[in-house]
Amino acid sequence: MEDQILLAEHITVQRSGTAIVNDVSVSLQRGEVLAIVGPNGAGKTTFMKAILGLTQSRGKITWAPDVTIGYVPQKVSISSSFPVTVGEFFLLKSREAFWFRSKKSQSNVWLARVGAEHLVDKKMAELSGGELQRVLIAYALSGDANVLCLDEPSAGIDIGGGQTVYGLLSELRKTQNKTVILISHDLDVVFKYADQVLCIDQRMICSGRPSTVLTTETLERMYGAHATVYPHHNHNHHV
Amino acid sequence: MVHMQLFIRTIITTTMFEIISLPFFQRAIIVGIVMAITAALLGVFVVIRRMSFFTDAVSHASLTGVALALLVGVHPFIGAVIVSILVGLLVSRLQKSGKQEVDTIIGVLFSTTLALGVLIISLMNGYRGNLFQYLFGDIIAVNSNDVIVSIVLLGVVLVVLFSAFKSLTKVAVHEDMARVDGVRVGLVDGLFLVVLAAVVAVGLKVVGAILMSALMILPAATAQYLAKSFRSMVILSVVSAVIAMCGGLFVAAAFSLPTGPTIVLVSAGLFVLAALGGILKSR
Repeated sequence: MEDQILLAEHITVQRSGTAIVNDVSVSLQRGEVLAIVGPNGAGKTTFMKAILGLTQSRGKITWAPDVTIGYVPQKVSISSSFPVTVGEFFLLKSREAFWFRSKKSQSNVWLARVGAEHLVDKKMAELSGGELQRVLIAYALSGDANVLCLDEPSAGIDIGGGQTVYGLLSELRKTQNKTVILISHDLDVVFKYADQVLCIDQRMICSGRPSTVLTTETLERMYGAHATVYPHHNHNHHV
Repeated sequence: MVHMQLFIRTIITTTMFEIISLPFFQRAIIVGIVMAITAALLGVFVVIRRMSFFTDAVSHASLTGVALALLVGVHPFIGAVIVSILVGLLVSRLQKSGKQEVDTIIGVLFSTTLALGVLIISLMNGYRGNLFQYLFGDIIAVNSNDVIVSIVLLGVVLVVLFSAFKSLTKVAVHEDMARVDGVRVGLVDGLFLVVLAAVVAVGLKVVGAILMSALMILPAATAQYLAKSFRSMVILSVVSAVIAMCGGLFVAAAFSLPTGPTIVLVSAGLFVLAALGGILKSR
């Protein structure tokens, strides 16, 4: 299809003879938000790493030829003994010289988009969880990425920080037609922001529109017999 | 009091001029400064990637390389580079197998290779006297050829480090993010190991196998206490290394002390001063 940006077919990842991800397929259109959900240890991060080529896998992964990916991993831990500043971090990806940063650096533009331009001279190791997440998203966007892959972007940050991150992603999608692949445990987020959901628990449990495929039955298959969906009046959902 | 100060200053100045005018000292200072800049720059990456103990293993292993090279009759530099790289690769391989913690692997390898190197050199007739030099270095003993070889090699290392500077820093931040950005992490790691082995081999003349890792780690560790950014860490590390090298060489020459340990102790002194400064600043 013309607007298809990713086609992953029959992806299997094995470690020490055990399948961590088993025969999972997904197809994604340009500008869509795909949420990957599943219990702890279901292979969500491994699947994301497989489609990014960060881990060896079997199957076929086809990205659109013009794809540029920005990736925000689950955990970025920068030691306090590594004094790299936010501005320097952005220079690592840009074509600007590392040693002579101008005040009109492109990093300011990207940081401004996530409301973090005031952090440019701060050390990465001194950022709070929410600040770090904003900076990492801005960094992921900074190479003019058309696909953002985010592994639990709200993990380790407070509710307000999480809402800001998802609000930002929603805006990016609307205004810049970015394709987003995100891993989340929060089904509220999935219902609110995702066009497509991929449920995995080593193997594929469901795939499609959240309102169609996230049924009590599929949730029970993933999370156990006590899981169900409670619709809210404001269309939010809880497990 | 004023006369006494003038007298001491005259003696120190005269001694420094006398020392500087000596050809062997001039050779030592040239090699030493180039070595200090290269080791400090490399040391920054060693420290931010938490590879200090790994560097210890590679530098200790170089002694076995020197011993084997002397045994088979090739230049000790070649032996040092080859064995250092092999031990570095062995550490990576054993680490990936996941059967032992990396500090255990390094602990086993660096003591074994050091013991093996000392044993082989001790058993070789005519080389036993050089053992102390290989262990603790003697930069005063460098000849004109050593100067040329050191400058060319360290110059190449500096060019490689500056060319790969952004990639090396990206890998230090996060390997997977670096991969997504197009960095070939395996290539960068391999290059880093080769560069590390080359600097260790050249450094054998300067501070020896035992103290080589200190020449890389101490300036970077000193800079960490004072740096407000990564740029300033690199600059402060190089400045601190050059001060320690020149200061150590002058002190060693003036008081007839062994050069390697004196350079390292001056560097350690700067580290203590920076640590105290860092503690006072944080209060």
